[in-house]
Amino acid sequence: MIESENKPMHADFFVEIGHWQVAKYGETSEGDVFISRKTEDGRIIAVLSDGLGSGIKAGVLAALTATIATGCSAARIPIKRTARIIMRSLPVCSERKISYATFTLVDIDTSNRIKVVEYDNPAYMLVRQGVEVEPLRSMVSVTKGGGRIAGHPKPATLRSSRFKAEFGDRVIFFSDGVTQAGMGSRNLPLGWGLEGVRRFVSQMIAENAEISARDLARRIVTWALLLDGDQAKDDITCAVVYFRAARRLAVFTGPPLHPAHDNELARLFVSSPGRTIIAGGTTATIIGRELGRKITMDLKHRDPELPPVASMEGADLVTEGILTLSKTADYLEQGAAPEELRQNAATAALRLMLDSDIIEFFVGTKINEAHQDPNMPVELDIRRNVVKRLAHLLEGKYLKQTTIRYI
Amino acid sequence: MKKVHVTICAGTACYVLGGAELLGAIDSWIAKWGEQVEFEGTPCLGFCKSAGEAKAPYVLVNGLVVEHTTAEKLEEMVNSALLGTEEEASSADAAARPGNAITRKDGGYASGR
Repeated sequence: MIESENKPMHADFFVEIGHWQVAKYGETSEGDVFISRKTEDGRIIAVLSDGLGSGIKAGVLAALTATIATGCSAARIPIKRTARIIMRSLPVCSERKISYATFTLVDIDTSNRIKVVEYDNPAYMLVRQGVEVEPLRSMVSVTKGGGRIAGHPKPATLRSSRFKAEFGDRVIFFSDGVTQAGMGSRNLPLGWGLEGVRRFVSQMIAENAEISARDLARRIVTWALLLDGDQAKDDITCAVVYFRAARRLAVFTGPPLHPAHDNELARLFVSSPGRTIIAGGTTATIIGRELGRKITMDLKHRDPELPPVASMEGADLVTEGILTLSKTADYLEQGAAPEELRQNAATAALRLMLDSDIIEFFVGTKINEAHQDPNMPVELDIRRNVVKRLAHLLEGKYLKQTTIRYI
Repeated sequence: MKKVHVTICAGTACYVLGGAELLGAIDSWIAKWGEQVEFEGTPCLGFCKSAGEAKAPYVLVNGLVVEHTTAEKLEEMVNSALLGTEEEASSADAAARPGNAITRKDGGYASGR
């Protein structure tokens, strides 16, 4: 999350990063790797690397490249040196006698200044106010150190560009599995191509000006996969950085320690500016009672693992508490995509969390003694711990901004 | 025809202690009883916090609280209620039937606290 302190009108200016990926048909693991992280000084670094070939071997090359590039950028190591470190570190392929992985590195500082370094991936796109603009790129030539690069195909030429992001900007980057999708087919003998991707992106943004980073990346990859006849001919990966107004989500879970604060809980609920989840039967009952709103439960869609979702006016989702939130945390930990899971209360919560940028947890601290019954067939975690785990995952793995308030 | 109304608590304690099985059995009960019995879920009936020795899962059958509910117990209660509906038995009679039922004056949702 970038909150520019010198730009108070953009207090909610948020950097959303989303990516989507499919592996080459027949491979069990991806040969492209995408990593994003937030540094201690508040910068956001995202790297997409495409390893030579496909499968595990390519994945190792790409993972090494992405990890080194991210680490070096976080430590502010100059890009030439970073590239040399990568070149020297990559293992040489025993068949091809070369070592190779492309990368696109995006480094965003707390004033929304962006540096992009590209090596052999398709050129990234910068979309401003719905129109693609061409950033100025400078070339940097890198050799492995001194003279000829043993094992490396040629001196590497990196392209570097810098600009200051504006509100609504999107930076879109992808592996060649996207641009080469459909190659050899009658309709697209040369593949989708950068031009084709550009047209598709323009159309997507024209149809939905606020399409999320994750959704745009997913649509690009899904379309590329379709062009490949649903059997990806290469790893297909796309990442999107979107400078957007923050989408807020408030999660209410647990009854207040003192019943006297029940009305405060209901007041916080009605005054939440964004979307809301109520996770907890008692919590829902309290808020419903305080606001005079009826809660209904949909028994048609039942899940074998979790209690069904309910609904109440003003709440985007009403679920059971501990089991559902624990399951949501499991999904976040696994990096699961809600679209690919059996739909239940936790996937609904996961979807809302992934589609939000700032997530506030309002946690009631009253403990339900029935949960402490030693005869419980499953171990129920303490609510505070579940929420802390969720917040930790959302911050660390998904670069969300979270706050926890105890009631 | 009067219907029997069954409300199953889907709160954490009830769900873990057998409510999941009750919710899972709804389809078979609908097949068995048809439109005579209406099923409803509720986020929390609130009894687990104040029930003393009584145990989850809790279910309401026509407003009567059933504790430690198993599928068999629920079927027994619903069958009794169906009989009672036919005989237009009073709710006081229904309360005296087996099944550890506790009468509730207000029926509907518990306050949750």
